[in-house]
Amino acid sequence: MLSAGKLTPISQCIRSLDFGPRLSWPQALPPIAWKGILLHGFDRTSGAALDIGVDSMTNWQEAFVACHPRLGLAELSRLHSCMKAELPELLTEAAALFQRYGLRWSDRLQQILFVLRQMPLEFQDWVDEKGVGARDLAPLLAVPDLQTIQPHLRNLVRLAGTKSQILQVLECSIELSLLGQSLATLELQPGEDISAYKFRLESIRRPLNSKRDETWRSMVATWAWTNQVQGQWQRFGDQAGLEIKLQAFSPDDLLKKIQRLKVIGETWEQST
Amino acid sequence: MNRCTQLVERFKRVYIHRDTMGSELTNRLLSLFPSDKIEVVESRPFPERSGELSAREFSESKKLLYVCRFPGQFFKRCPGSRPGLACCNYFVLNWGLQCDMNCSYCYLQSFLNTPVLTIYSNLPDALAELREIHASSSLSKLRVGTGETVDSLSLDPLTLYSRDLIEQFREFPNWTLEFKTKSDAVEQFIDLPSPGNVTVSWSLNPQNIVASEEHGTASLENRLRAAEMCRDAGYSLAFHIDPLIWHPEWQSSYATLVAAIVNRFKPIEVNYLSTGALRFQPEQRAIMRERFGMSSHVTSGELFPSKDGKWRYDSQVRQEMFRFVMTEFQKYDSKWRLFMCMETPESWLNTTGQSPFQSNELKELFDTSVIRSVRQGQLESQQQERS
Repeated sequence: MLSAGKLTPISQCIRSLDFGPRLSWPQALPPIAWKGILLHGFDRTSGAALDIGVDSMTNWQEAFVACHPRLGLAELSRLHSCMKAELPELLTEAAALFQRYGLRWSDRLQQILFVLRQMPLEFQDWVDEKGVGARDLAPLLAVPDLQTIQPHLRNLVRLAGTKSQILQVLECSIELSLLGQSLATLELQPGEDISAYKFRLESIRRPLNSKRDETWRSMVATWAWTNQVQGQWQRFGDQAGLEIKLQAFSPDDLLKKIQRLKVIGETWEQST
Repeated sequence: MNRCTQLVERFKRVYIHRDTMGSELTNRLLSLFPSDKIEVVESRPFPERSGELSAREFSESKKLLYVCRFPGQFFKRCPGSRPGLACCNYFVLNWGLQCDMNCSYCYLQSFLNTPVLTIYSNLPDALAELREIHASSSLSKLRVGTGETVDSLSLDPLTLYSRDLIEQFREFPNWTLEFKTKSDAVEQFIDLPSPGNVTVSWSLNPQNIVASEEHGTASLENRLRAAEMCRDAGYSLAFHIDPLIWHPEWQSSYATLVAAIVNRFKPIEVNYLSTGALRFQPEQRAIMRERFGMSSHVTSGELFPSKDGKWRYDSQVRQEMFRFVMTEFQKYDSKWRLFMCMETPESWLNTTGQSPFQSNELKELFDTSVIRSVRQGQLESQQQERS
């Protein structure tokens, strides 16, 4: 339970846990400390902090979570880094603390936190803004040199795209770089939107299927489509085939168009 | 160096749960392993390592052996039997968890959440469970496999479980026991007269794929030699050409594999032959990349998310591969028959021209009445336990 606490000059507080939280502490409230360790309000340089650890039963985890009820993965990675470097005695409680943020403490999580900590701040902020999870960032664990990927990550998070699109581009570009492609060639090209960019990278990643799909796409475009019946070659996961758009204005019209589609079916069969 | 010595050297440490002291398995391991490798424990080692394993924990787990009792139900239905997949009436008996070999595509990488290779000491309980099911169900036919979460035979020189299972199945002449392996460890049971209902099956791939993707497994040549030994001793055989792995020279590789099989075995000597294309859960991609890089044919392959969530090759590519392998076998002898494992009915239809449910040879494998009967038997036993 939080106690009334005691005011301590902020200049006497330990700032080792300044992990750069994204949300700033309300100016109307005094910074919070626990047994002399500042927990929030790191931007303040003068005045007093309210120490809620002195003469109370409040443990540091409770105090910390009360100050930071929601933290993103990148914030937690920075926090972990601060704890490791400055307050290793708190690390024994890392598992319990991270559990409070819905994360299971594991070797894999620690690897993700370590990698994320090395990433540019723009990327870290994007991770937290979009609520990216640890598993989404697993592709980064395969990158042998984390420095080389930093410019690419900065560019990625500036793209106008959904979280899912950007994560797919990230995974694809990491795989391509591991396959020997230069990351510089995997950046967005002028005039490309995120969908076209993703499509281009996936085409490089799956050259045989892309070539096959492209051949079909060109062939299908030459087939005898009629007005109000249009088809194109599309990929649907592990299958590719025709997507047909048909407009009919009467039952007779529909039957006629279906009849015309039989011709398309025969052409398809002959092409297979 | 004999097999036991090799296995003893492969494990860095053996953790024996105190509850298993006195069991046949524990006694045997105590006699095989040097005492400095053995530690008697009260609970699973590394309790802090749980949930999704990191790449290094997964690799490390293959070197740490843990012996404990399995508290639950041993007898489970094959995971292939889910709506949307055509599967083959296969039941699994898991006497362990994790494999001492190291295939790049292994599904355990996304499945396992224990940091040790576990072997259950209470096989006698599993056998009792089987006897109970046998007695309580009206089943005439059933296939039971032991190679789902652990290779059936690679650790068998340590456990000798094959011997107990073979002897048990001698009492169930209408049921079939299948060992499924990528090892060549058969000497430990080959002296037992074949009961006629034990199939020893091998997952096979061309030697270039064995070398690049199936690390720590027996070579293709050694697997086929072990299969010959089993055939000569009267055991039934099965081969699973699974997973088919696309690589630039896949046609010549798989043609060579088929030739190696047909040059040594006649169709009548092989109970069944199955095939399946590479597939894995999406979450497996990351750990595979970390453990095997992108030079592996598996990680660098062109796969897509499929309807059931797993990643697979394009359906046309799969059908091309299935057709190729089938045609290769048929070139030698039309009596060779393949069935597809973990595939959609559409793949069956597009590859073979018929649904698995239409094939007379496969009807028995897919007979749903067998599944119903086992379920009924299990339900009845559970009800009896409750009352």
